[in-house]
Amino acid sequence: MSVAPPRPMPVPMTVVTGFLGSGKTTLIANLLRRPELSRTAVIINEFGEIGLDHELIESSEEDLVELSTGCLCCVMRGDLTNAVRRLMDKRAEGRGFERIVLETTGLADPAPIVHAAIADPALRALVRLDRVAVTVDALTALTSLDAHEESRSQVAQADVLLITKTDLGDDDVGALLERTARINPDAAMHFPVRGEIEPAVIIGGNSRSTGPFETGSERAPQGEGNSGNYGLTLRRSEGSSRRALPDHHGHHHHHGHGPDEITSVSLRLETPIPAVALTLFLQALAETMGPDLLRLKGIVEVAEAPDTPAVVHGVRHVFHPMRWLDDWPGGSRDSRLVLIGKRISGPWVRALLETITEEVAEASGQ
Amino acid sequence: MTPARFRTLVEGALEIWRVEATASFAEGKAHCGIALKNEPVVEISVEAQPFGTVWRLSEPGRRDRVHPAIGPALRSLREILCPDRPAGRVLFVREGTE
Repeated sequence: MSVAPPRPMPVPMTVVTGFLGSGKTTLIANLLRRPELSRTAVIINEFGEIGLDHELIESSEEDLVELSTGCLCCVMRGDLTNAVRRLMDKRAEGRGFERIVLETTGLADPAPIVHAAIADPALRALVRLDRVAVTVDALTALTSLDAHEESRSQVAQADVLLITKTDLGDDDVGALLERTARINPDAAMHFPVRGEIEPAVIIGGNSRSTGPFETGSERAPQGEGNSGNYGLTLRRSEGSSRRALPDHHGHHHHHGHGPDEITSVSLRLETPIPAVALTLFLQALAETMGPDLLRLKGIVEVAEAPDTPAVVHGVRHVFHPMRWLDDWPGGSRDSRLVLIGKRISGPWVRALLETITEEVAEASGQ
Repeated sequence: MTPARFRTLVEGALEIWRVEATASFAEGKAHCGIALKNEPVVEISVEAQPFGTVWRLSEPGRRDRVHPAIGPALRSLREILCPDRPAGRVLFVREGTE
């Protein structure tokens, strides 16, 4: 009589979500450099035709799955199960990862993903949801929380809130902390600087739905009405409040439908862009689109430095200084730009860039 | 500036700004007139001058606005067509986090 091989234990999975440009990729990239997380497989879900985030995360190809054909929370939950299954097959073949980190799109409502991880038998057999970590951009989150239901849902579903970019602005984050505390008073709160955080913040031995866990050194708001008291340490107890998961059939997503809904535009550029033209392009784009530009990211061949691709990041009107990579990731030297926002037209963006590039060439006598 | 690209640029900006305007494009030229509620508001053209290409915005009864580049031209056009729309601004922060 043959005996069925024992089923492998479900692997702990941390969901890292957060609104567009709030620092998810930076956080994960930094965490993966830590020895404690060396045995981690990563699933990246991106919004847009051209995936870029996977290029910025150093991980072996075998331990990284990119899902860029849609948003997991909308249409790709089956794809998530398949992605996890592919990873688990590799694990059975000897890939020794012991946890999974899933980076969602910046527009994902994590609720359906959490629901699938808890309730979908196929997925539950493969993974055990560890926790939901949500990055919150200290510079732009108040606006995002006002304007985007997805952002509010992300905060509401968080086990851990990671308030990013507090080192970049002079603004008091008190209003933001009050706001997040009203949405989710139970979440532990941390303040990573440049994506640096202790791994224990986003991984742990405990399932999201069972058992208390110590949150150590975090500062945690104590709920609406106590917003000034951020110095206390929160200890979550079993049975602490969890927001109800929405009924899947009642779950609506608006990004991608209708003229005022959020869409993405992806550009591949065949020729290098002069640094001045790139800067003028970013300025014209942000100025013309105003609040409708939510996110811009890209890997660009700058004409003056063709061997060191520039990573461009903008969140709303805030642009970060270009970061230079040592080499072209993935072997392709094409410049790639992804813009996410409302009423963006790909031809318009391309025409703007081409026009500015020509103007710069004309002004420089080329 | 080809007429087709000019049209893409103008129509794209109107779409972004949600301006309910009628834009009439000249055949074979980078030139158009924009009307709001059937009232002509501005004419836009891209012209080659001896010193380089310029964007000219002509409003009835007002002095032309002439710009050497598309960025300021779009800024002027927005001020004419939708002065209440908040101006986008760009902030380059000192350190990148993502």
